[in-house]
Amino acid sequence: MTKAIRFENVWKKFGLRYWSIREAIPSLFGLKGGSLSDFWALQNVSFEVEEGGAFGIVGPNGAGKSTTLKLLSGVMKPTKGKVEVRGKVSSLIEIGAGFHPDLTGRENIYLYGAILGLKKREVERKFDQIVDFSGLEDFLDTPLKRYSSGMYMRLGFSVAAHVDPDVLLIDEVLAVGDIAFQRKCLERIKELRESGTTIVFVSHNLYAVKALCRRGLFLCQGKAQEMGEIGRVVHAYEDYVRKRGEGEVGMRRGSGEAEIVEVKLLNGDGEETGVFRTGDRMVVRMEYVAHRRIEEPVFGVTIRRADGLLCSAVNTRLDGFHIENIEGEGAVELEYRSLNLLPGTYRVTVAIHESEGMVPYDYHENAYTFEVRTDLGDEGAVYLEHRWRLDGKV
Amino acid sequence: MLLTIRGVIEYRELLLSLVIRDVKARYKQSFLGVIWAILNPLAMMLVLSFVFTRFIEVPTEGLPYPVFLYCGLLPWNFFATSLSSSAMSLVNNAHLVTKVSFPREVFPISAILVNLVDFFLASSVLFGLLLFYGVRLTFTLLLAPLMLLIQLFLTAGVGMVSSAMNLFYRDVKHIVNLGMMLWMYLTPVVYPTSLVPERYVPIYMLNPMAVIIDGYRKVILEGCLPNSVHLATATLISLIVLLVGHILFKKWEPLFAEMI
Repeated sequence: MTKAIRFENVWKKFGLRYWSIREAIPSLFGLKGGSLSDFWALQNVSFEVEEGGAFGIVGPNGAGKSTTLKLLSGVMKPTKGKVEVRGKVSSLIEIGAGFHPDLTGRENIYLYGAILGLKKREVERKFDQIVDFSGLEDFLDTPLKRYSSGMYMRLGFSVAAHVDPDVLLIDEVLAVGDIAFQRKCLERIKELRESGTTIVFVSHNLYAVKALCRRGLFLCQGKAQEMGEIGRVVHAYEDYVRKRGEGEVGMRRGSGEAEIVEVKLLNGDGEETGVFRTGDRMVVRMEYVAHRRIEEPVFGVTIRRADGLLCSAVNTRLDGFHIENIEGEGAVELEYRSLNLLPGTYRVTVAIHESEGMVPYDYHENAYTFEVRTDLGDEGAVYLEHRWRLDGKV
Repeated sequence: MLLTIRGVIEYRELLLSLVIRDVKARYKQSFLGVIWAILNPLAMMLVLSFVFTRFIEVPTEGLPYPVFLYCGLLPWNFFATSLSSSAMSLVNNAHLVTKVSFPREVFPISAILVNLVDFFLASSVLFGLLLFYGVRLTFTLLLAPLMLLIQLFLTAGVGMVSSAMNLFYRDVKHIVNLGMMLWMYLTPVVYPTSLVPERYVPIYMLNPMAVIIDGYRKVILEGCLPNSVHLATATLISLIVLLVGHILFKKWEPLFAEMI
């Protein structure tokens, strides 16, 4: 298989810089201020992506993900090493870069198309497709400054998604817009992937990374930590997040179209509590508000031990518990008939996702804590119902 | 250099789009719109004409001072505004410089072309003045585009260097503005070259803008040809500036995205 991207032992250094001549003068004379330290954004990173492949890059902020994309797009050059990209590259790096607020939607489609390397004729040919995808027919002659930020992104993505590049670089584009449009974007990206476009995808949305990519890279502080099959890469990243975030309440994110407003942990008597005994009944009650009608939502609950060990992860879709739609206020309850966890502190993550389980409406990571106590002397993570028997000569 | 010309041709649609963006955006917002392009030099011409005919009398060899002045003011304004806007062009398009990859010359060049549109619009006033004062036009007028071409070489060369330098040090835009003011007094914009003392002329004419402005007046107003030695020198200097400017620009180009 031919390689579309070759990233070979790449190093990238950023030197700290001076903003004005006044600051720069002392350094000319070797005075202090001249010895600003350099910063290595990438250290000996290598990977390859075959033609038509989809490659995911994950890692914490400042890991070097964006730098990698900038090197791939040719905006920056590596300090050491080699970057080779075959074919026409298009970036969904900053959607709408180059839009002008005073121009109309129509004018901006042409402008952004030209910036992304389309000829005027090509834009004309794809114009209807672009407009159709964006769903903004009625606003084509409105200046962009009157657009909401959601509409802005729609227009930007719609143009960018129709450039038909050989290599598509995507950076966190799915973090914006409403869920319906986010799904549309993901669908379009999948479509491009199926039609043979090579894709490099950077995202914090690990579901989307796993859904889109087969292989990937986990970067941390400019170094490759794990590379290869995407499941392994994401797992390594999750491990890292867990270790670093030990004892911390995780982040809350999501589009907010539906929110989990209250989470209660109830015991066998239906009382709210934070302490359970091994084998108790536990109910996780999630009270939600859906700000609009949401079709086929998926609710999920995860339990982790304080050290990060994943004890249980379930969701309504996997369990075949189908919810037609939700609108307004309501609650979903998950019952664990017998909570067979051994003593320790546990953290609960709750989430509402769209039907594919890829983009969250609301996601509370490790936000709820409970403790388990017991009279049992078992060691380990879970209590497995057991019995001893002696079979031998007495 | 040849590669760049090819690059510019390849990216001409982008270049054109950026020019259209800036021209449209500039005139959409303002109440008077396109009229500003004419009003600016016109107002300057009126005030300066008043000062230099009533307070200080500038000899213009029989030409009406307003025509004389406008013929120099017009290309000078084009030069000065082009340089200050091309100096800012990379910084103002930072989001594009850091995100999308294409030859960066597109930015300073499109900034210059935007001002070229204004230059053409404001030229209409010159033709009005020529008619009004009954200045007889001759075939030498056909050489005016040559002056413009030399001026464009010079502008592009200085513009590329200042846009890149301004990225490294934001002070550069102030230096450009100061420099333009000083440069204007060393160029025959409000006064004729004939006022320059004989012994300074060889040095004075090393300033390409002096030759160019003087050249415009000669071919448009006076119906005669510019001094060929001066013109050749100015062309050579402008081309060298363009070449050196471009080499420096290309040398610094890989650093742009990091420096913004």
